[in-house]
Amino acid sequence: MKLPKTTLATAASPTAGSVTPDDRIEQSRLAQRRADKWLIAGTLLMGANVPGILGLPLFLWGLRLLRQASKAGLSVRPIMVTLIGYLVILDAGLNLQGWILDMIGNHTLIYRVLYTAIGNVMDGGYFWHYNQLWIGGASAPGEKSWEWACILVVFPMRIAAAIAFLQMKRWGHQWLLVTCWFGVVIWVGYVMNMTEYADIRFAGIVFPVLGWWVFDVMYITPFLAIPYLHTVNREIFSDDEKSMSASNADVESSGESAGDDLPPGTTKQWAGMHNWLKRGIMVCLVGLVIEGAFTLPFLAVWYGYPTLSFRDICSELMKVRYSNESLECRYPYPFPGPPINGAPEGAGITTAKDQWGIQPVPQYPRLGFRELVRIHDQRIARQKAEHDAATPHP
Amino acid sequence: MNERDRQRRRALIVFQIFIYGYLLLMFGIQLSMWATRNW
Repeated sequence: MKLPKTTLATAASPTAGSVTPDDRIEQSRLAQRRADKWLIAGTLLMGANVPGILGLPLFLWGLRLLRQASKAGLSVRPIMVTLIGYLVILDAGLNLQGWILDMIGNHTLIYRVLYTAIGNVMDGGYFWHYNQLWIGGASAPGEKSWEWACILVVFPMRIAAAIAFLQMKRWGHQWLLVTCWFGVVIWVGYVMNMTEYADIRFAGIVFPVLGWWVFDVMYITPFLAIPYLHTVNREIFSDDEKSMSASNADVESSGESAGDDLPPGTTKQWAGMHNWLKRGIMVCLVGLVIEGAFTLPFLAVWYGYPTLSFRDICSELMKVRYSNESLECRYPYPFPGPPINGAPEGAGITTAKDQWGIQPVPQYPRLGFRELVRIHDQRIARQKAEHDAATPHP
Repeated sequence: MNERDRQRRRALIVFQIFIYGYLLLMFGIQLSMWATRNW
């Protein structure tokens, strides 16, 4: 429902004697609901990668509505809580999407093209011996352990906690804190794993080290959320079902934030830090949207689309991965695929060149911009010439 | 700022130094590997 400006202004006016507290709570609820519709629509689009660029304006519009309602004196969710809640959902959702696909969608054509392409560009763990293990695509040591732990435990918990956090529930705040510390554990362990097996991750790929860091640094959400969660005034979160307006009213009446023009939950001594965190969160949010929207099209073009079809790219990447010109990408792959039915695509292929040792080092060549097109065309020309030479002239 | 807030601030500073320091260290190790290995 659209709240007219006059309604907001009336609610904000100290002389608005005709507005009862119940009216004000109802106006606040409607304003919150209206903003959330835009915020949810924006977040869903931002989580869908390429359409994310359309989702960002919707999300920002929702934030604007929320700020207007707040300035008009309505009791709505603080901007920081909104930003952290939705960013956590976006961060966990994007990770969940990628890793679930790696686990069960690893024989789909789009995944074999775009996600192994990401592997070839910035993280060899998603390219090296891809689709050779009994389950899932990535073969990097330890990767599957992280994937299972995060798919089954951490990310669903984070999303559930963030939803409750957005509803201003006390358990949402508590569980978001717990799962943000999980996020610290994941970062510390995952980065160590990458560094330990750095040869697999970075040898022969397009942008070693820098590519992964530039792309993944946008996922540092927990480090930005933790300081806020530890310093926010917890009284704004409530066990009450109708927690939004009740808890905000509590804070306002407690006088902690009131009178200083500070948002609910932010006290004077932490206001500066909360401001900096807000800026960091906005940078991460915009960064995630930009990389989500542009990475996959960029990869498709880098690896030869539209000159090469997705199936051609899939086959060319396989030939490079396994140093074997005879390999072709199997499409469509029989459904349901491995491990339920049949062996993975790479099973039994022994032609991949690696320098084996305690740390395997991949020996595939680095692929330049649209180099697959050149490799593809040269091979076709060579095969045609060989065929012509072998065919007797009449 | 009361004593509890002061302790909280100190803990958060330690946490920030630890976590960003750790990431920078790992990044630095990977950069040094890149410089010395045939990637």
